[in-house]
Amino acid sequence: MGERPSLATMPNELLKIIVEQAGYMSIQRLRLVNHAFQEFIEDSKLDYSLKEISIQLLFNQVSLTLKQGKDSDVIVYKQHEQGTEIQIGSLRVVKKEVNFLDLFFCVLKDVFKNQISTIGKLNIELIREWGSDWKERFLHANNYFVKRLQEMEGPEGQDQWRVSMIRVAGSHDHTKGILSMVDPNYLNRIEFVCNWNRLNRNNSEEIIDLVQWKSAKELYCLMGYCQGFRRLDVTKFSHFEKMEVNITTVTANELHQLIKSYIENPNFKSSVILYKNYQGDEPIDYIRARMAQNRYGQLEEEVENYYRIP
Amino acid sequence: MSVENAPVVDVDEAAIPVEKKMYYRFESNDKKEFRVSELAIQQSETLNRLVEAMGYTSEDVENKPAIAIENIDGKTLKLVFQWCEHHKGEAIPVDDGSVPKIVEIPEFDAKLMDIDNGLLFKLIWAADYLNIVQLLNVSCKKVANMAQGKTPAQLRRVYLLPSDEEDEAAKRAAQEAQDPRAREVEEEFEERKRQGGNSFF
Repeated sequence: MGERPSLATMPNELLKIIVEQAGYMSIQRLRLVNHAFQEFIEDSKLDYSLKEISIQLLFNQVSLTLKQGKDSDVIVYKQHEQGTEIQIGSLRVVKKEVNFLDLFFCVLKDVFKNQISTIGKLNIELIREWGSDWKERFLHANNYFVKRLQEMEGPEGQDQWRVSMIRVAGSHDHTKGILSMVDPNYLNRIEFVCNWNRLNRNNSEEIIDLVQWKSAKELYCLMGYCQGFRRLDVTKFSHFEKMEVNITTVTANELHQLIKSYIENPNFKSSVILYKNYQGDEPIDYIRARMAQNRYGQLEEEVENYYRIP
Repeated sequence: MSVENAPVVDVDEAAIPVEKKMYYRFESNDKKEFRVSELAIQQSETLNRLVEAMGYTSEDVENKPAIAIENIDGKTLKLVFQWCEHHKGEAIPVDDGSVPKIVEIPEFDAKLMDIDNGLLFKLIWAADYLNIVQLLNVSCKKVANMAQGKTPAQLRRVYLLPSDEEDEAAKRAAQEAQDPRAREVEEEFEERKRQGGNSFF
């Protein structure tokens, strides 16, 4: 302890702990302090320790929210006539001759590479289909974005991402593509929001065949009537300890089988099934209406049958 | 100052033993003595192992010399033991790197660490040396929080970090201090270059 204590005199292992807790944006600014610090950040196997990563794609912009503890950094990459406009809080910078998606994926690659610990929540919202004239264009943009996402490596060059909870707002196909990138060993909860799937095929069967689907313990699905899991045996959902899901058609026999499997599962917590059609003679308890949140957080009244277990 | 004459600092007045509890005596490198409860010591893996290995009885802790902690001064050690007394009995966090380390600074810790940067860095060193996991976490978080919303220039000022130019100048100065002839040689080399000489030798 002979030297005057400061950040510059800190041993590297302590400096690493400090830098890792500084948050993503501060780490990027620390890189610019001097060359020695830049080298330290690049050479140390830093863990950004992000609790939550949220990505929202719009037609000409993509926003990235990185949350560490209570603090979060929001970076917006916008298409600009000269290249890309980067917006961080009130700060706006234009980076010339660079495509906004290229810049975004360059940053995301660094984030994924330096996120050693498991990401608590990864939220990906794709472009929602609007007017019929634009459908093809949005679909193409979403497909391209998912393809680029699939190129992202996890920590230490691993093929898959370490995520505890994944939330996808997109079509069935896109959900399948994103879900397949998650390391099943770390996955606990799947959230799937699909209010639009008109152009995409409903490949519910392929989703439930994924190893990620089978290893998750919790499921939350909010889908429109036409986009729900169609013609699927609800017993395929019996491994979830907690779930809220809409399925187009349920039968009395399936529901009885499901309840039986829940009774046998000591870890079972709760299950809510929304269905449109019920095939069976026996009456079952239902509630006619419920308030549900759409992807923009607005409350919408949904009128459909609702079966709650227990 | 001899050990006998060293001032004895009770870290927590309220923690004076009313029951038969073991209070260990520690001495900083500037001969300040502290009495710390057995439970508080458990927050430090290093000290806990040390006292376990010593196997002192309650008579020993009074009669034998205080345990010397040679790398830490009294001011820093006082903060360390105040923290340990306040957090005694709390579970020690285990960091296996599998989940993001989210550190929040409790109110007591925030007040305790309302100190100058030099002392704060000494506290980090001490927490690391004594292996006090949570104190290391909160003190590092406190330093990390200083970076919030700062530009690179502001970060240099806050953390006393040199710019590349200053760093280069400092290196040159250090080199010259080691070898005073180096500057003369460099100047001579520059002079010869100006005169058009191809080779220095």
